[in-house]
Amino acid sequence: MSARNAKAREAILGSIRANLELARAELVPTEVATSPCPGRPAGLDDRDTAIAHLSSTLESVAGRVTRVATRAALAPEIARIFDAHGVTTIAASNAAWIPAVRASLGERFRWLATDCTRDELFAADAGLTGAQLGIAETGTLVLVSEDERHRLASLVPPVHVAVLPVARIVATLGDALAALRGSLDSGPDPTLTWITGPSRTADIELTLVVGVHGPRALHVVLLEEEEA
Amino acid sequence: MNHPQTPATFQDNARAALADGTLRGALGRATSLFAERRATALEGLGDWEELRERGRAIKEEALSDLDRQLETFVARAEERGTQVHWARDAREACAVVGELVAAAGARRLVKSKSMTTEEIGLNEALETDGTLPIETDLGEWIIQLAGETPSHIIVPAIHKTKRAIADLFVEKLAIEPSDDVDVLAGAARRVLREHFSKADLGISGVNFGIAETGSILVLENEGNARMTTSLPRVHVAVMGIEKVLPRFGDLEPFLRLLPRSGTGQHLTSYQSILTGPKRAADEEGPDELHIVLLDNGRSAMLRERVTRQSLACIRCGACLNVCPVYKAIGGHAYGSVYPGPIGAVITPQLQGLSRAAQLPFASSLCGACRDVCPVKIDIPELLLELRKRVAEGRGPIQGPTPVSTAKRLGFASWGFVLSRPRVYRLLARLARCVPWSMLDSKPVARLVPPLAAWTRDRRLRPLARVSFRDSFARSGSAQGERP
Repeated sequence: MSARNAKAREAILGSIRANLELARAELVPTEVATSPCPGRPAGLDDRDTAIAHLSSTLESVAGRVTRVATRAALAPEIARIFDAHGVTTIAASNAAWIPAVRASLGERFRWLATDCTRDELFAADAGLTGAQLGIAETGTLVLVSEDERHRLASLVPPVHVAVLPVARIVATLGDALAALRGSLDSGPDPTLTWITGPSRTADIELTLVVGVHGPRALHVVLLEEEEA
Repeated sequence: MNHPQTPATFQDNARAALADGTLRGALGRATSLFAERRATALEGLGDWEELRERGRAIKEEALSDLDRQLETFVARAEERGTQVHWARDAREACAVVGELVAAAGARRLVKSKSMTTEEIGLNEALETDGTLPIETDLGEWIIQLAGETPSHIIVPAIHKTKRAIADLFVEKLAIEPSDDVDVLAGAARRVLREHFSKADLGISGVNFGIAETGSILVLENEGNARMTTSLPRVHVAVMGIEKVLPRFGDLEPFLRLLPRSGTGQHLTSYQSILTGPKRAADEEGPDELHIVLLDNGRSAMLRERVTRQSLACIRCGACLNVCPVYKAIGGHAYGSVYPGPIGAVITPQLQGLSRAAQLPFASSLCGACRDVCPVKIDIPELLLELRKRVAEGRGPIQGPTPVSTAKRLGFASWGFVLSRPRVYRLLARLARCVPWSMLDSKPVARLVPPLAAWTRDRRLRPLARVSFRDSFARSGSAQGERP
C-alpha cells in the first residue's frame, strides 16, 4: 500500500471513528430483524406457480419464454429461435450441454470459437448460454461465471438465448441470494450476472427503447428434464 | 442561460427555469409518468412500509459501525484480488483515478453512469490529462455530447426533448434527421459499440458494497455498465464510503426498494455482482479491479442523527419526481450535482453550507419527499436543521453564511412573541384595531422594506375582526362541545 493510500485510509477511518464517538450517546444499537424480509411474494414455493410467475414476469418486460420437455428437444427449439431472428453466427458460452446441441445442428450455423477476437464477437448474431438460477419473483436469470463463461455471450450479440432448467427456479430474491452467497470463506463466485429482460432505456423523453447496448431480444428456453 | 449555474445563484437559476416553457413541459410529463409507474410497481407489495423500515434499519446498522464495516469490506475485497484505494476528497479521488489510468497506459476510457464520479468532477480532471472517458449511458452520453450536466439522478437528459436530441445527433454524428427514438438509440448503439470494443479502461460507480464478501453491485437497464465492467482490461469503481452493507443477504430489501422507487420497475434489467478481477487467463472480465473509496465530507455527516440519515440515501431519485419545486424548475437550477430535495440537503453538507445556503430554502416543506423515500429519510427535518444552521451562521462544515442582523432580530422577536401566549394575544388584539381594509387597496398593498419581499408575490390579507379562538369559545359555550 502506498504511503498516500495508507495515510488516506487512516484519516478516513479516524474521521469515521471520531464522528461516531461524538454520536455515541444517541447511537442506539439497531436490531435488524432476522425475520424474513418484508415484500416477499407468497405462493411461489409451488413449482408450477413459480414457473408461471417467472414466465409472465419476464414476458411483461419483453422477454420471450418457451418450454421444452427433454434435452433432445433443445436443439430444434434453439434452431427455431435462431432462424426466427435470421441468425447465422453464434457466440456460445462454454456450458457443458452446448457441444451436444451444436453437434446435432450440424452446419446450419457458424459457431465462434471461445477464444474469438473482439471484432468477431461484436459481429455475432446471437449468444447462447445457460442460466444457473431463475428467480420466480422477478422473472430473473442468474448467470454464474464459475459455471460458465457467460459475460460477453449474454451481452454483446443482439439476441440472447438462455436455457434454464426448471429445477433451478427459486421463489424469491432472498432464496436466490441465499443460494449465491457461497461458503463463508470463499464468498460468492467472481461474477454474478442477473438478467431480467432485454436491454432497455427510457432516456429519450421516457420512451421505452429495447436493445440500446445489450441484446434487443432475450429468449429463455425452460427445460423440464432433470439434470443427469 | 449564460452564467454558470451554482447553488449560490439558485434564485436566478430558478427564475430562468420557470420562464422556460419547454423545460416545464418536459419536467411535468416525466415526473408524473415516474410517479404513476412507481405507484403501479408498489401495487401488490403489501409490506412496503415494513420494507422501507428494513432498508433503513440495515443502513443505520452499517453507518453506526462504518469503520469496521469498511475494514471488513476492504479485507474481503483484497483477498479476492481487488485493489482498494482510499480518497479523502474529490481532488484526491481524481488524482488516484488519474494515476490508475496512467499506470495502465490506458488511452481509451469508457464510463457508466455514476453520480459519485459527477460529484468529484472526474471527467473534467481526466480531460485535463488528455484521457476524457466516454459516457456510455444513453442519457449521460447525450449530455456529454451537448456539453451539459445531468438534471436528474436517474434520467440525466430529462430536460432535453427528442427534437433537441435529434438535432444534436445530426450535428455531432452526421446522421439523417429523424424523430424516431429507436433510430436515435440505434445511432448511439453503433457509435458506443465502437468505443466499447476498443476501450482499455472502464469506470463505474457502485450501488452497494457488501462487507462480508467484498463484492460490489451495479444496477442498470441498458447493458452499458456490463460492457464497461466486462470488456476493458482494467475496471475502476468509484464508491462512496456510505455504500457498504454488512451482509450479502441485505441486498434483498434494497433490490425490492431501489428499482421500484427509481424507475417503477420490479427489477432493473441487469445487476452485476462483482467480486474481484478474473483469476485465470481464460476467464472473462478485467485483469484488474480497483475500488476507490471516497469520503469527501461523508464521515463528518456521521456526527449527528439528523445529518447521518443523509448517508442512507440510495440515489433512487424518487424525491425529485414528487417535489413541487423540482417539478417546476428541474435539476440544473440547483446548480449542484445532486438536485431536488435530496440535493438540497446533501449539497450543503458536501460543499459547505456557505456555498449552498439557498438550497435548504428551495422547498415548500410539503413532505412528499419523506413519504416516498425508500429508506425513510426525513428530508424536511434535515431542511429545517440546515435552515437553522444558515440562520445561526454555522455550517455543518465551517464557513460564514450571509444572514442579516435585522433578519435574526426579526425572527428572535417573532419567537419571543409566539412562545408567550399572553403577549401574543395582546398584540393580536392590538393588530385587530388597525383598519386593515385600507391596507388591501393598491397604494398600501405592499409592506415597507425589508418586509416588502414578503408581499411581492402575496397579497396582504386583512385580519378577521373576531379571532378563531374567541369565536370558538363563544360558540362552544352556546352550543356545547363540538367534535
